[in-house]
Amino acid sequence: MTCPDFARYLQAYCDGELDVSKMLEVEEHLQGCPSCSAAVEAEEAFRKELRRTVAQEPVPPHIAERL
Amino acid sequence: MGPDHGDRSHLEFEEVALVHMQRIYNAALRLTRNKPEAEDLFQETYLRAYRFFHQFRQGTDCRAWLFTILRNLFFTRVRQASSVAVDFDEDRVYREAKHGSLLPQNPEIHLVHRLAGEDIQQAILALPPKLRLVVVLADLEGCSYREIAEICQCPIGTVMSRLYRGRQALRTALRDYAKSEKTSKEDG
Repeated sequence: MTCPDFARYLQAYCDGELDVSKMLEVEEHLQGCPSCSAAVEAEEAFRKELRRTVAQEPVPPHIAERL
Repeated sequence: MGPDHGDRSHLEFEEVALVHMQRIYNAALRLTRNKPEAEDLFQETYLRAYRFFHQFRQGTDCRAWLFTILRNLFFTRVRQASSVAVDFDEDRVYREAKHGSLLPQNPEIHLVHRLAGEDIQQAILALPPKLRLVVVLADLEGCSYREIAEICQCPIGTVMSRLYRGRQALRTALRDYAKSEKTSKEDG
């Protein structure tokens, strides 16, 4: 697998949506490629930060009580 | 809500559907422009779910079923408000995706870190509704591609394509917010 090949699978890999054989192929590439490994770390950190920043808000009690 | 109806009890509705209240409310908040609108969309989703609960297939994913109702109501509202201009340059997303790197860059993480939750909410709202929905479902609600495909009633390939475009557009919008914030700080 080349780096441009990997770039096509990056999002599905980080989403945990690749099938096992493709995931193993990706992981083999990542073991030998620091720049793609850094891209995975960056993608995962971006998502984590996004979830952290856009915090959950509780359902307002006056709404919940109506249900 | 009202008394029992059909052959499903209110208790069953509580056990199966109301447990997802928090997820549905948060998705409504991220899809709409303000709290009253989100509260309205949320309540309408649950009212419709209650009314049509007899159509829900036992043993299937109720959260996905509720998201599907939310999605339908959301797009009905979007169509009704279609005269409202959407501030989004899709061509720019494609240009940047074509000429830039497909791989994320570390500074993008810091962009999110630097910006306030409100700015990020604005960036999410600037996405076209179809892209906004998949980004909210995948990145904030943790839905799988299969669940999103079911909710959006489209093939998984379409989900992946919308998700890619949505995430790219979000990064573009965040870069713009960070730039404007920097400029306003320098000016001030």
